[in-house]
Amino acid sequence: MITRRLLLFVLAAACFVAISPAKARADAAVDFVQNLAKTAVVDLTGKDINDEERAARFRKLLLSNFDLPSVSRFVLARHWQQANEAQRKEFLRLFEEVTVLTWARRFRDYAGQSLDVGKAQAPDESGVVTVDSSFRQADGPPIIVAWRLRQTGSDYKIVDIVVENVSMAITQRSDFTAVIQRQGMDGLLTALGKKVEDMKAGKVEPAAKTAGAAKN
Amino acid sequence: MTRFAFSPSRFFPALVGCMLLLGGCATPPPVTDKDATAEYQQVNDPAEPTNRTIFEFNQALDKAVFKPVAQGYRAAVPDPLRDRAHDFLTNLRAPWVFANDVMQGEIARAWETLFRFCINTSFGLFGAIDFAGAAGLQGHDEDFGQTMAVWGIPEGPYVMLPVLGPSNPRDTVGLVVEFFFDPANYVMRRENMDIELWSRTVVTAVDKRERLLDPLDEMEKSSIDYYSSIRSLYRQKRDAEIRNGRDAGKMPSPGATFDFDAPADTATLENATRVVTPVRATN
Repeated sequence: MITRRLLLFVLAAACFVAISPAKARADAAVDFVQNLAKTAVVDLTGKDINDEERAARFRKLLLSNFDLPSVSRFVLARHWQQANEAQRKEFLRLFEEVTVLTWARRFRDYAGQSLDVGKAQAPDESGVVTVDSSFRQADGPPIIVAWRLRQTGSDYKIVDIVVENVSMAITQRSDFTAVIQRQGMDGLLTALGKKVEDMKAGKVEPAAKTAGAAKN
Repeated sequence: MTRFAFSPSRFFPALVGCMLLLGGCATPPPVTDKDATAEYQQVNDPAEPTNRTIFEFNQALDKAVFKPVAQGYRAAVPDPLRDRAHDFLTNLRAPWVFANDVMQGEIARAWETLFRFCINTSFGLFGAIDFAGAAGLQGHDEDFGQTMAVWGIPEGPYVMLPVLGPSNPRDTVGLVVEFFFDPANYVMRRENMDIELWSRTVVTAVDKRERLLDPLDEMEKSSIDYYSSIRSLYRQKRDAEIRNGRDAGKMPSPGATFDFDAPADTATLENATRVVTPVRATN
């Protein structure tokens, strides 16, 4: 099963960058990941900004660095085709909200971990480049994070983050399609809407991650 | 052997029997609906209603017992001591990992495991300190379910085991085989070291649950249908473990394939954006 802390989901995209010069390569994809990591730490992890500001800053990063339209289609799989215009529009809105709120919370809890960015693997047949990295924790083994990027023009956009071999996009696809199967597309939209409300109301608390702090 | 009234050799068949009796099955979509059928096959969870019932039971049990115990363990035992326990348990498992490395034909990895076992058992005080790991020789895990996968035995449908959690027939058989043939277990049973045997089982479970406290909390918070997220997580982890982390680049990703089983979908990001953009533009 899952042998290491997937807390990563949390900290993964979050954190970063202690790059040893030897590893730094003149590779655009690697640079992209390193720069994004740097930006994220500088912009999002300050303790002096409030939740709203943090969410707003993350939204900016998200929209310019993630291929959200492709991810949205991917996570709905075949149901994207079956959804009507209004449902698609509502899904895109809610998916963005949920993503922003989830990651804003994770960055708020960032605890200074650093990311070693490794090398980029050659693009696969669909053109996706994978950049390997490992996320150093204060205790425990490093967490392996793979960034999957797609190039558009001279820009890269993230299409997936794979934490300890678990793809966020694939996991979310499984999650969403299961809800659709049981409750239909409108059921998913209702559930996402409720999730957004709960998160805004602070009902979804961050995972306790320090020793002894884990209380239910 | 006779002392094990709750012996797995009886427990597992009984379990499988019960599950067949409970027998709730998901209704497959009509074969004419190709997309739905592809999705149904990809999900590979024909006993989903039963599995969900067992999952709810497991969740209740976890919240009442396992999770509080794991939290107590984390709170009561300092980090370095927990690490020593974990390293010790890992080392105790090494002979079994070695056997599986060999059975999978992974000779280099087998040497690695053997070498680590020798170093850690001696210099590492019977495995309590992962000396080899500190020296840069990281260990890896293997189990018999993975070995059977390497041999080409299919996994079968997804199964939620009571108490033990997500599995499939192949991994369930792997668990049973491991219980009997893991060298440490085997020796302890032969020497009638019942207390040691069950202590190992219990401490291993507590150690594992403690390590999963944060990831599972996070997963539960960020998913809508926790059951299906766990199912996906289990599959992805097992898949990577079987591949020993190789060929990771072959997984589907957004912008490449949008549909289940879509044969080399040529839809590119540009196509995707084109479809999506008008929708967003109407905002």
